[in-house]
Amino acid sequence: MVKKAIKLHIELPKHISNYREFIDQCHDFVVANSFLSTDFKRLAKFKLAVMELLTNASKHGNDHCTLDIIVTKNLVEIKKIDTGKRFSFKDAQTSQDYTFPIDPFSNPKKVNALVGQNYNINIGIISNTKIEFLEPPEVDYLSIDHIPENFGLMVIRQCVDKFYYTYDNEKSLNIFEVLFQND
Amino acid sequence: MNYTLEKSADVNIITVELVEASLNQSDEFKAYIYSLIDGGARKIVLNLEKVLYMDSSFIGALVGGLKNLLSKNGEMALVNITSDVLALFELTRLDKVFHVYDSIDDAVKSFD
Repeated sequence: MVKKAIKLHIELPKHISNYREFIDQCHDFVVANSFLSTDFKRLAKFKLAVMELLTNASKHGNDHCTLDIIVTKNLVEIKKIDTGKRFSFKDAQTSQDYTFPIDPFSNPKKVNALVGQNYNINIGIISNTKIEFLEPPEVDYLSIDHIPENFGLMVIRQCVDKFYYTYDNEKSLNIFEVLFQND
Repeated sequence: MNYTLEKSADVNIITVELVEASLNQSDEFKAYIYSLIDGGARKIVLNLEKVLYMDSSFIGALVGGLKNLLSKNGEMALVNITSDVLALFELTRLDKVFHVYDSIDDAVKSFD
């Protein structure tokens, strides 16, 4: 088990033609270095989270996109950083549009965010540049028409313990960060 | 070709010939399913035995195909889903939406 942080850094191409190569690289790294190595259920979720972050990179990553995995004794952290379009969402209740940095920013709060057609996700606003994607409630699709055709953020959130987005305003960077915690 | 089509009476059995079913193929796959439906297909079995990795874009294309098919009173069944892909269906609760079978025969019989 590690005592200090060990890091894997990957520069992602603009077009990812072979997901498996990157997923296997990340998988092998955490198996060799982290507490996830003996937990096959969480390893499967780790791979799904990596795959969705790669898809997010392909969709929104623009020219420069990196994936970092940082392992410490009780934490596996994945950071996907890109220079693409900043994340935005709409409050499903008030129709207020949010982009980053959030202005005006009031107290931290929770928002039922609309991020696509039929696609809602609960968001906790932590600061004017940082949000947390919150665990979704049980979903019962009322009819086929209510089913979204985008699931990326939901899948990532379901796979991990914590999921954050931060906008680095100085460097114009999108930082998606997911955490796996050692129970 | 990423998809092979076999016919059994009026059932269209599509085998997805991909190990990775991702954003790279999702638009193409959706167009393929739509073209089959436009051509009159109403009973579709999707054999996913070769797919080891699937992402949310491809599953979104599957949902799009299912919506189109159901709007024309068609039916779709999925067969031979590998464990990691099934986990994705469970996470998105879509295992409750799609009809999932262990074999092509079972899926074809379900249409009777």
